Amino acid sequence: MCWRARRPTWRVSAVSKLPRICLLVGRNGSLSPSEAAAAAREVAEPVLLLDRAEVADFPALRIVAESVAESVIVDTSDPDEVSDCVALRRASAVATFVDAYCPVADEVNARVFGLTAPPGRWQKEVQRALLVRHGVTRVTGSLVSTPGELSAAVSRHGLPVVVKPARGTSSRDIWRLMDPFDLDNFQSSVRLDGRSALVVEPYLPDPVASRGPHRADYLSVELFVTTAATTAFITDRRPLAPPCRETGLIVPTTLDAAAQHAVLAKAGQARQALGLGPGTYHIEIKLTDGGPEIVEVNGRLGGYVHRLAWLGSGTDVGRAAIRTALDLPVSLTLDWRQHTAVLLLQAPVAAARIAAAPRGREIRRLPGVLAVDHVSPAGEPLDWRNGTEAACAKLWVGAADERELHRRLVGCVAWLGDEFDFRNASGRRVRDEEPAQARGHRA
Amino acid sequence: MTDIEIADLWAEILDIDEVEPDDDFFEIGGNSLLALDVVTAIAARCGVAVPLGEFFANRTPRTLAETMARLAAVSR
Repeated sequence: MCWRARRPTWRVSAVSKLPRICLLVGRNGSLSPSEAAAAAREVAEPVLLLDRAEVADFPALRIVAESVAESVIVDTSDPDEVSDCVALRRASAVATFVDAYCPVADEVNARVFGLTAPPGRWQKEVQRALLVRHGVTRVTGSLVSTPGELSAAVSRHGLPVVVKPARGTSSRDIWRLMDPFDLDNFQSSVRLDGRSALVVEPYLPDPVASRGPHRADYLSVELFVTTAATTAFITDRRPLAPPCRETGLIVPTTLDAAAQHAVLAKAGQARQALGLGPGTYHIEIKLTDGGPEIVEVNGRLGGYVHRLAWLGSGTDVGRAAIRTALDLPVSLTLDWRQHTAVLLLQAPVAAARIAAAPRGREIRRLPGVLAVDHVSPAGEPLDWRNGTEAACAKLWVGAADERELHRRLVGCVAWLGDEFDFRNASGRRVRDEEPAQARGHRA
Repeated sequence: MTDIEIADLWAEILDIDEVEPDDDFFEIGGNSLLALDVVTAIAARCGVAVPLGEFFANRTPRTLAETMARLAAVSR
Protein backbone atom coordinates (compact mmCIF):
# COMPACT_ATOMS: atom_id res chain seq x y z
CA MET A 1 0.00 0.00 0.00
CA CYS A 2 1.36 3.40 -0.91
CA TRP A 3 0.15 6.26 1.24
CA ARG A 4 -0.36 9.59 -0.48
CA ALA A 5 1.67 12.00 1.55
CA ARG A 6 2.59 14.72 -0.92
CA ARG A 7 0.83 17.97 -0.24
CA PRO A 8 -1.16 19.63 -3.06
CA THR A 9 -0.31 23.12 -4.26
CA TRP A 10 -0.66 25.89 -1.71
CA ARG A 11 -3.68 28.01 -1.35
CA VAL A 12 -2.65 31.54 -0.49
CA SER A 13 -4.71 33.86 1.64
CA ALA A 14 -5.90 36.84 -0.41
CA VAL A 15 -5.20 39.25 2.42
CA SER A 16 -1.88 38.24 3.95
CA LYS A 17 -0.28 36.43 0.98
CA LEU A 18 0.80 33.79 3.43
CA PRO A 19 -0.61 30.27 3.24
CA ARG A 20 -3.28 29.63 5.82
CA ILE A 21 -2.82 26.80 8.29
CA CYS A 22 -5.39 25.38 10.69
CA LEU A 23 -3.86 24.37 14.02
CA LEU A 24 -5.73 22.10 16.41
CA VAL A 25 -4.64 23.43 19.79
CA GLY A 26 -5.55 22.81 23.40
CA ARG A 27 -4.44 22.96 27.01
CA ASN A 28 -2.17 19.93 26.93
CA GLY A 29 -0.37 20.56 23.70
CA SER A 30 3.37 20.61 23.13
CA LEU A 31 2.82 24.23 22.05
CA SER A 32 0.22 26.42 23.75
CA PRO A 33 -2.18 28.37 21.51
CA SER A 34 -0.08 31.53 21.90
CA GLU A 35 3.17 29.65 21.17
CA ALA A 36 1.59 28.04 18.11
CA ALA A 37 0.43 31.41 16.79
CA ALA A 38 3.88 32.91 17.44
CA ALA A 39 5.58 29.97 15.69
CA ALA A 40 3.44 30.59 12.59
CA ARG A 41 4.40 34.26 12.38
CA GLU A 42 5.78 35.19 8.94
CA VAL A 43 5.35 31.58 7.79
CA ALA A 44 1.60 31.17 7.67
CA GLU A 45 -1.65 32.77 8.68
CA PRO A 46 -2.82 30.59 11.57
CA VAL A 47 -6.40 29.68 12.35
CA LEU A 48 -6.62 28.11 15.79
CA LEU A 49 -9.16 25.32 16.17
CA LEU A 50 -10.35 24.78 19.75
CA ASP A 51 -12.42 21.89 21.02
CA ARG A 52 -15.92 22.90 22.10
CA ALA A 53 -15.97 20.73 25.23
CA GLU A 54 -12.52 21.83 26.33
CA VAL A 55 -13.42 25.50 25.91
CA ALA A 56 -16.55 24.93 28.00
CA ASP A 57 -14.34 23.56 30.78
CA PHE A 58 -11.57 26.15 30.37
CA PRO A 59 -13.00 29.41 28.99
CA ALA A 60 -9.60 31.15 29.34
CA LEU A 61 -8.37 28.99 26.49
CA ARG A 62 -10.70 30.81 24.11
CA ILE A 63 -9.75 34.24 25.46
CA VAL A 64 -6.06 33.52 24.92
CA ALA A 65 -6.56 31.98 21.47
CA GLU A 66 -8.75 34.80 20.20
CA SER A 67 -6.20 37.35 21.35
CA VAL A 68 -3.47 35.91 19.15
CA ALA A 69 -5.17 34.58 16.02
CA GLU A 70 -8.44 33.85 14.28
CA SER A 71 -9.99 31.11 16.38
CA VAL A 72 -12.82 28.70 15.70
CA ILE A 73 -14.62 26.42 18.13
CA VAL A 74 -15.20 22.92 16.72
CA ASP A 75 -16.20 19.50 17.90
CA THR A 76 -12.92 17.61 17.47
CA SER A 77 -14.75 14.29 17.70
CA ASP A 78 -16.59 15.17 14.49
CA PRO A 79 -14.22 14.91 11.48
CA ASP A 80 -16.95 16.27 9.18
CA GLU A 81 -17.24 19.50 11.16
CA VAL A 82 -13.46 19.95 11.40
CA SER A 83 -12.99 19.17 7.70
CA ASP A 84 -15.72 21.65 6.72
CA CYS A 85 -14.07 24.29 8.89
CA VAL A 86 -10.66 23.75 7.29
CA ALA A 87 -12.07 23.68 3.76
CA LEU A 88 -14.20 26.79 4.36
CA ARG A 89 -11.14 28.75 5.43
CA ARG A 90 -9.24 27.61 2.36
CA ALA A 91 -6.37 26.43 4.51
CA SER A 92 -3.32 24.83 2.92
CA ALA A 93 -2.70 22.44 5.79
CA VAL A 94 -3.86 21.23 9.16
CA ALA A 95 -1.56 20.32 12.03
CA THR A 96 -1.79 19.73 15.75
CA PHE A 97 0.35 19.86 18.87
CA VAL A 98 -2.10 17.78 20.92
CA ASP A 99 -1.92 13.99 21.03
CA ALA A 100 -5.67 13.54 21.25
CA TYR A 101 -6.19 15.47 18.00
CA CYS A 102 -3.75 13.51 15.84
CA PRO A 103 -6.47 11.10 14.58
CA VAL A 104 -8.81 13.94 13.53
CA ALA A 105 -5.87 15.71 11.84
CA ASP A 106 -5.35 12.51 9.79
CA GLU A 107 -9.06 12.45 8.90
CA VAL A 108 -8.98 16.07 7.75
CA ASN A 109 -5.81 15.53 5.75
CA ALA A 110 -7.51 12.65 3.94
CA ARG A 111 -10.85 14.39 3.32
CA VAL A 112 -9.67 17.91 2.49
CA PHE A 113 -6.19 17.38 1.07
CA GLY A 114 -6.34 13.78 -0.16
CA LEU A 115 -3.38 12.83 2.03
CA THR A 116 -4.03 9.26 3.08
CA ALA A 117 -2.33 7.40 5.88
CA PRO A 118 -2.65 3.98 7.51
CA PRO A 119 -5.98 4.01 9.41
CA GLY A 120 -5.66 4.03 13.18
CA ARG A 121 -1.91 4.61 13.17
CA TRP A 122 -2.04 6.65 16.41
CA GLN A 123 -3.80 3.88 18.33
CA LYS A 124 -1.17 2.05 20.36
CA GLU A 125 -2.18 -1.49 19.36
CA VAL A 126 -2.67 -0.62 15.67
CA GLN A 127 0.64 1.23 15.55
CA ARG A 128 2.50 -1.70 17.08
CA ALA A 129 0.90 -4.08 14.57
CA LEU A 130 2.00 -1.80 11.71
CA LEU A 131 5.55 -1.68 13.07
CA VAL A 132 5.63 -5.48 13.36
CA ARG A 133 4.17 -5.94 9.88
CA HIS A 134 6.89 -3.76 8.37
CA GLY A 135 9.67 -5.50 10.25
CA VAL A 136 10.53 -2.46 12.39
CA THR A 137 10.07 -4.48 15.58
CA ARG A 138 9.19 -7.97 16.73
CA VAL A 139 7.60 -6.69 19.92
CA THR A 140 3.86 -7.29 19.80
CA GLY A 141 1.11 -5.89 22.00
CA SER A 142 -2.25 -7.22 23.18
CA LEU A 143 -5.44 -5.28 23.69
CA VAL A 144 -7.27 -6.44 26.84
CA SER A 145 -10.38 -5.34 28.67
CA THR A 146 -11.27 -8.28 30.92
CA PRO A 147 -9.38 -10.22 33.62
CA GLY A 148 -9.37 -13.31 31.38
CA GLU A 149 -7.83 -11.39 28.48
CA LEU A 150 -5.22 -9.94 30.82
CA SER A 151 -4.23 -13.39 32.09
CA ALA A 152 -4.03 -14.72 28.55
CA ALA A 153 -1.89 -11.76 27.44
CA VAL A 154 0.49 -12.15 30.37
CA SER A 155 0.81 -15.88 29.62
CA ARG A 156 1.47 -15.10 25.97
CA HIS A 157 4.10 -12.41 26.54
CA GLY A 158 5.53 -13.66 29.84
CA LEU A 159 6.53 -11.38 32.71
CA PRO A 160 7.73 -8.68 32.89
CA VAL A 161 5.12 -6.70 30.99
CA VAL A 162 3.93 -3.14 30.79
CA VAL A 163 0.21 -2.36 30.99
CA LYS A 164 -1.07 1.01 29.82
CA PRO A 165 -4.37 2.58 28.76
CA ALA A 166 -4.98 2.13 25.05
CA ARG A 167 -5.81 5.82 24.69
CA GLY A 168 -3.61 7.23 27.44
CA THR A 169 -0.93 9.91 27.30
CA SER A 170 1.81 11.36 29.52
CA SER A 171 2.56 8.07 31.32
CA ARG A 172 -0.83 8.24 33.02
CA ASP A 173 -1.78 4.97 34.74
CA ILE A 174 1.10 2.96 33.29
CA TRP A 175 1.98 -0.15 35.27
CA ARG A 176 5.19 -2.15 35.07
CA LEU A 177 4.57 -5.73 36.21
CA MET A 178 7.92 -7.33 36.90
CA ASP A 179 6.81 -10.47 38.78
CA PRO A 180 3.71 -12.36 40.00
CA PHE A 181 3.52 -10.09 43.07
CA ASP A 182 3.18 -7.02 40.82
CA LEU A 183 0.55 -8.87 38.76
CA ASP A 184 -1.49 -9.68 41.88
CA ASN A 185 -1.22 -6.09 43.04
CA PHE A 186 -2.38 -4.84 39.64
CA GLN A 187 -5.31 -7.23 39.50
CA SER A 188 -6.47 -6.18 42.94
CA SER A 189 -6.06 -2.45 42.16
CA VAL A 190 -7.53 -2.16 38.66
CA ARG A 191 -11.01 -3.32 37.77
CA LEU A 192 -11.19 -4.64 34.23
CA ASP A 193 -14.87 -4.30 33.41
CA GLY A 194 -14.78 -5.02 29.70
CA ARG A 195 -15.28 -1.37 28.76
CA SER A 196 -11.94 0.41 29.02
CA ALA A 197 -9.16 -1.11 26.96
CA LEU A 198 -5.56 -1.62 28.07
CA VAL A 199 -2.53 -2.56 26.05
CA VAL A 200 -0.19 -5.24 27.39
CA GLU A 201 3.32 -5.29 25.95
CA PRO A 202 6.48 -7.15 26.88
CA TYR A 203 8.84 -5.02 28.94
CA LEU A 204 11.75 -4.19 26.66
CA PRO A 205 14.94 -5.65 28.16
CA ASP A 206 17.38 -3.22 29.72
CA PRO A 207 20.81 -2.99 28.13
CA VAL A 208 23.68 -4.53 30.03
CA ALA A 209 25.61 -1.28 29.94
CA SER A 210 23.50 1.59 31.21
CA ARG A 211 24.14 5.23 30.33
CA GLY A 212 25.06 6.04 33.91
CA PRO A 213 23.08 7.59 36.74
CA HIS A 214 21.94 10.70 34.90
CA ARG A 215 20.59 9.46 31.58
CA ALA A 216 17.83 6.96 30.91
CA ASP A 217 18.09 4.06 28.47
CA TYR A 218 15.36 5.61 26.40
CA LEU A 219 15.22 8.87 24.46
CA SER A 220 13.17 10.59 21.84
CA VAL A 221 13.60 11.74 18.28
CA GLU A 222 11.85 14.77 16.82
CA LEU A 223 11.39 14.06 13.13
CA PHE A 224 10.75 16.97 10.75
CA VAL A 225 9.50 15.52 7.48
CA THR A 226 9.02 17.29 4.17
CA THR A 227 8.73 15.87 0.69
CA ALA A 228 12.28 17.01 -0.04
CA ALA A 229 14.09 16.03 3.15
CA THR A 230 13.87 14.73 6.69
CA THR A 231 15.64 16.43 9.59
CA ALA A 232 15.83 15.14 13.14
CA PHE A 233 17.33 15.66 16.54
CA ILE A 234 17.57 13.51 19.65
CA THR A 235 16.53 14.47 23.18
CA ASP A 236 17.90 12.53 26.16
CA ARG A 237 15.80 11.66 29.21
CA ARG A 238 16.54 11.59 32.89
CA PRO A 239 15.97 8.24 34.63
CA LEU A 240 12.32 7.39 35.19
CA ALA A 241 10.58 7.52 38.54
CA PRO A 242 8.73 4.31 39.41
CA PRO A 243 6.90 2.83 37.69
CA CYS A 244 7.17 4.75 34.42
CA ARG A 245 6.96 8.48 35.22
CA GLU A 246 9.22 10.92 33.45
CA THR A 247 11.59 13.05 35.50
CA GLY A 248 12.98 15.27 32.80
CA LEU A 249 14.44 15.82 29.37
CA ILE A 250 17.93 17.01 28.43
CA VAL A 251 19.53 18.55 25.35
CA PRO A 252 21.84 18.03 23.60
CA THR A 253 22.14 14.25 23.55
CA THR A 254 25.36 12.63 24.75
CA LEU A 255 24.94 9.56 22.54
CA ASP A 256 27.99 8.85 20.40
CA ALA A 257 27.75 9.24 16.63
CA ALA A 258 27.29 5.51 15.92
CA ALA A 259 24.47 5.20 18.47
CA GLN A 260 22.80 8.35 17.12
CA HIS A 261 22.98 6.88 13.63
CA ALA A 262 21.32 3.65 14.79
CA VAL A 263 18.56 5.57 16.60
CA LEU A 264 17.84 7.80 13.61
CA ALA A 265 17.84 4.79 11.28
CA LYS A 266 15.22 3.12 13.48
CA ALA A 267 13.16 6.32 13.46
CA GLY A 268 13.40 6.32 9.67
CA GLN A 269 12.03 2.77 9.55
CA ALA A 270 9.09 3.82 11.72
CA ARG A 271 8.48 6.72 9.37
CA GLN A 272 8.16 4.32 6.43
CA ALA A 273 5.98 1.84 8.32
CA LEU A 274 3.51 4.47 9.54
CA GLY A 275 3.40 6.51 6.33
CA LEU A 276 4.62 9.69 7.99
CA GLY A 277 4.21 12.42 5.37
CA PRO A 278 5.07 16.12 5.67
CA GLY A 279 4.77 17.06 9.31
CA THR A 280 6.54 16.71 12.64
CA TYR A 281 6.66 13.53 14.70
CA HIS A 282 7.83 12.51 18.15
CA ILE A 283 9.34 9.03 18.36
CA GLU A 284 10.22 7.41 21.68
CA ILE A 285 12.96 4.84 21.52
CA LYS A 286 14.52 2.50 24.05
CA LEU A 287 18.14 1.40 23.76
CA THR A 288 18.47 -2.37 24.13
CA ASP A 289 21.36 -4.78 23.58
CA GLY A 290 19.60 -5.86 20.38
CA GLY A 291 19.58 -2.28 19.10
CA PRO A 292 17.14 0.61 19.39
CA GLU A 293 13.46 -0.38 19.81
CA ILE A 294 10.48 1.83 19.07
CA VAL A 295 8.33 2.51 22.13
CA GLU A 296 5.78 4.83 20.56
CA VAL A 297 5.32 7.32 17.73
CA ASN A 298 3.22 10.48 18.07
CA GLY A 299 1.91 12.72 15.29
CA ARG A 300 3.10 15.97 16.84
CA LEU A 301 6.12 17.67 18.36
CA GLY A 302 7.16 16.22 21.71
CA GLY A 303 6.25 17.89 24.98
CA TYR A 304 8.81 20.31 26.47
CA VAL A 305 10.97 20.06 23.34
CA HIS A 306 9.97 23.45 21.97
CA ARG A 307 11.22 25.35 25.01
CA LEU A 308 14.25 23.10 25.53
CA ALA A 309 15.46 23.81 22.01
CA TRP A 310 14.75 27.51 22.44
CA LEU A 311 16.63 27.81 25.73
CA GLY A 312 19.46 25.56 24.57
CA SER A 313 20.01 26.83 21.06
CA GLY A 314 17.71 29.76 20.34
CA THR A 315 15.98 27.69 17.66
CA ASP A 316 12.19 27.76 17.29
CA VAL A 317 11.34 24.16 16.47
CA GLY A 318 7.65 25.11 16.62
CA ARG A 319 8.26 27.22 13.53
CA ALA A 320 9.97 24.23 11.91
CA ALA A 321 6.89 22.15 12.73
CA ILE A 322 4.62 24.70 11.03
CA ARG A 323 6.89 24.71 7.98
CA THR A 324 6.84 20.90 7.71
CA ALA A 325 3.03 20.86 7.85
CA LEU A 326 3.08 23.19 4.84
CA ASP A 327 5.81 21.07 3.21
CA LEU A 328 8.17 24.06 3.20
CA PRO A 329 11.94 23.49 3.46
CA VAL A 330 13.23 23.32 7.03
CA SER A 331 16.71 24.43 7.99
CA LEU A 332 17.30 23.15 11.49
CA THR A 333 20.75 24.12 12.69
CA LEU A 334 20.74 23.47 16.41
CA ASP A 335 23.84 25.26 17.60
CA TRP A 336 23.71 24.37 21.31
CA ARG A 337 24.91 27.32 23.36
CA GLN A 338 24.08 25.70 26.70
CA HIS A 339 23.14 22.29 28.05
CA THR A 340 19.54 22.51 29.16
CA ALA A 341 17.09 20.31 31.05
CA VAL A 342 13.54 20.41 32.24
CA LEU A 343 13.30 18.76 35.64
CA LEU A 344 10.00 17.11 36.58
CA LEU A 345 10.02 16.23 40.25
CA GLN A 346 7.83 13.19 40.91
CA ALA A 347 6.56 12.33 44.38
CA PRO A 348 7.20 8.86 45.79
CA VAL A 349 4.68 6.23 44.69
CA ALA A 350 3.50 5.90 48.30
CA ALA A 351 2.82 9.64 48.68
CA ALA A 352 -0.83 10.58 49.09
CA ARG A 353 -0.53 14.25 50.07
CA ILE A 354 1.89 17.17 50.22
CA ALA A 355 2.30 18.43 53.79
CA ALA A 356 4.80 21.19 52.97
CA ALA A 357 6.23 22.63 49.77
CA PRO A 358 8.87 25.21 48.85
CA ARG A 359 7.95 28.46 47.11
CA GLY A 360 8.73 29.14 43.48
CA ARG A 361 10.97 32.08 44.31
CA GLU A 362 13.10 29.85 46.57
CA ILE A 363 13.56 27.33 43.77
CA ARG A 364 14.39 30.13 41.34
CA ARG A 365 17.43 31.01 43.50
CA LEU A 366 19.04 27.57 43.07
CA PRO A 367 22.13 27.55 40.81
CA GLY A 368 21.33 27.23 37.12
CA VAL A 369 17.54 27.47 37.45
CA LEU A 370 16.26 29.42 34.46
CA ALA A 371 12.54 29.29 35.23
CA VAL A 372 10.02 27.60 37.48
CA ASP A 373 6.76 26.68 35.79
CA HIS A 374 4.94 24.90 38.56
CA VAL A 375 5.18 24.04 42.23
CA SER A 376 2.43 21.98 43.82
CA PRO A 377 1.21 23.59 47.04
CA ALA A 378 0.95 22.10 50.50
CA GLY A 379 -2.29 20.21 50.96
CA GLU A 380 -2.46 18.92 47.41
CA PRO A 381 -3.50 15.25 47.11
CA LEU A 382 -1.17 12.96 45.15
CA ASP A 383 -1.64 9.80 43.10
CA TRP A 384 1.24 8.38 41.08
CA ARG A 385 -1.28 7.07 38.53
CA ASN A 386 -1.81 10.61 37.27
CA GLY A 387 1.51 10.18 35.43
CA THR A 388 4.18 12.59 34.34
CA GLU A 389 2.03 15.71 34.29
CA ALA A 390 1.35 15.36 38.02
CA ALA A 391 4.97 16.36 38.74
CA CYS A 392 5.22 18.36 41.97
CA ALA A 393 7.72 20.80 40.50
CA LYS A 394 8.62 21.73 36.93
CA LEU A 395 11.76 23.77 36.44
CA TRP A 396 14.23 24.58 33.70
CA VAL A 397 17.92 24.31 34.38
CA GLY A 398 20.90 25.35 32.24
CA ALA A 399 24.69 25.05 32.40
CA ALA A 400 27.69 25.59 30.19
CA ASP A 401 28.58 21.90 30.01
CA GLU A 402 27.12 18.47 30.65
CA ARG A 403 28.99 17.86 33.91
CA GLU A 404 27.86 21.15 35.42
CA LEU A 405 24.28 20.56 34.31
CA HIS A 406 24.20 17.20 36.11
CA ARG A 407 25.74 18.74 39.20
CA ARG A 408 23.02 21.36 39.22
CA LEU A 409 20.23 18.84 38.59
CA VAL A 410 21.45 16.65 41.44
CA GLY A 411 21.56 19.73 43.66
CA CYS A 412 18.01 20.74 42.71
CA VAL A 413 16.63 17.23 43.27
CA ALA A 414 18.32 16.95 46.69
CA TRP A 415 17.10 20.38 47.78
CA LEU A 416 13.54 19.72 46.58
CA GLY A 417 13.59 16.32 48.30
CA ASP A 418 14.33 18.07 51.60
CA GLU A 419 11.85 20.89 51.14
CA PHE A 420 8.87 18.86 49.99
CA ASP A 421 7.18 16.94 52.79
CA PHE A 422 5.29 14.01 51.26
CA ARG A 423 2.95 11.97 53.43
CA ASN A 424 1.48 8.53 52.75
CA ALA A 425 -2.14 7.54 53.39
CA SER A 426 -1.34 6.96 57.07
CA GLY A 427 0.17 10.42 57.44
CA ARG A 428 3.74 9.18 57.74
CA ARG A 429 6.47 11.08 55.90
CA VAL A 430 7.79 9.30 52.79
CA ARG A 431 11.01 10.39 51.17
CA ASP A 432 11.60 11.27 47.56
CA GLU A 433 12.66 8.14 45.67
CA GLU A 434 13.84 10.04 42.70
CA PRO A 435 17.52 10.65 43.46
CA ALA A 436 18.06 7.06 44.50
CA GLN A 437 17.00 5.45 41.29
CA ALA A 438 19.99 4.33 39.37
CA ARG A 439 18.64 3.73 35.91
CA GLY A 440 15.78 4.75 33.72
CA HIS A 441 13.73 2.19 31.91
CA ARG A 442 11.14 3.03 29.38
CA ALA A 443 8.58 0.36 28.82
CA MET B 1 3.19 51.99 34.76
CA THR B 2 6.95 52.09 34.35
CA ASP B 3 9.00 49.11 33.34
CA ILE B 4 10.15 48.79 36.95
CA GLU B 5 6.56 48.67 38.21
CA ILE B 6 5.67 46.08 35.57
CA ALA B 7 8.72 44.01 36.55
CA ASP B 8 7.60 44.12 40.19
CA LEU B 9 4.10 43.02 39.19
CA TRP B 10 5.49 40.09 37.21
CA ALA B 11 7.71 39.06 40.11
CA GLU B 12 4.62 39.03 42.32
CA ILE B 13 2.53 36.99 39.89
CA LEU B 14 5.36 34.58 38.96
CA ASP B 15 6.48 34.31 42.60
CA ILE B 16 10.12 35.09 41.87
CA ASP B 17 12.54 37.52 43.50
CA GLU B 18 13.46 39.79 40.68
CA VAL B 19 12.51 40.53 37.09
CA GLU B 20 14.76 42.56 34.82
CA PRO B 21 13.37 45.10 32.31
CA ASP B 22 14.46 42.91 29.39
CA ASP B 23 13.30 39.55 30.76
CA ASP B 24 10.93 37.66 28.48
CA PHE B 25 7.75 36.80 30.41
CA PHE B 26 7.54 33.36 28.83
CA GLU B 27 11.16 32.49 29.55
CA ILE B 28 11.00 33.17 33.28
CA GLY B 29 8.01 30.95 34.07
CA GLY B 30 5.09 32.82 32.53
CA ASN B 31 2.39 31.23 30.41
CA SER B 32 -0.76 32.33 28.60
CA LEU B 33 -3.00 32.03 31.64
CA LEU B 34 -0.61 33.96 33.87
CA ALA B 35 -0.50 36.58 31.11
CA LEU B 36 -4.25 36.93 31.60
CA ASP B 37 -3.60 37.58 35.30
CA VAL B 38 -1.05 40.27 34.38
CA VAL B 39 -3.32 42.22 32.03
CA THR B 40 -6.19 41.95 34.53
CA ALA B 41 -3.95 43.32 37.29
CA ILE B 42 -2.70 46.15 35.05
CA ALA B 43 -6.27 47.16 34.22
CA ALA B 44 -7.20 47.11 37.92
CA ARG B 45 -4.15 49.09 39.06
CA CYS B 46 -3.88 51.78 36.43
CA GLY B 47 -6.95 51.51 34.23
CA VAL B 48 -5.10 50.69 31.02
CA ALA B 49 -6.68 47.83 29.08
CA VAL B 50 -3.81 45.96 27.44
CA PRO B 51 -5.16 43.55 24.80
CA LEU B 52 -3.71 40.10 25.39
CA GLY B 53 -2.39 40.04 21.85
CA GLU B 54 -0.34 43.18 22.60
CA PHE B 55 1.04 41.47 25.68
CA PHE B 56 2.13 38.43 23.64
CA ALA B 57 3.86 40.74 21.15
CA ASN B 58 5.55 42.80 23.91
CA ARG B 59 6.89 40.24 26.31
CA THR B 60 9.40 42.28 28.36
CA PRO B 61 8.64 44.93 31.00
CA ARG B 62 10.44 47.50 28.86
CA THR B 63 8.47 46.91 25.64
CA LEU B 64 5.22 46.44 27.55
CA ALA B 65 5.71 49.80 29.31
CA GLU B 66 6.22 51.46 25.91
CA THR B 67 3.08 49.77 24.59
CA MET B 68 1.07 50.86 27.61
CA ALA B 69 2.24 54.45 27.17
CA ARG B 70 1.10 54.31 23.56
CA LEU B 71 -2.27 52.78 24.47
CA ALA B 72 -2.82 55.38 27.20
CA ALA B 73 -2.02 58.21 24.76
CA VAL B 74 -4.47 56.87 22.18
CA SER B 75 -7.25 56.57 24.75
CA ARG B 76 -6.85 60.17 25.97
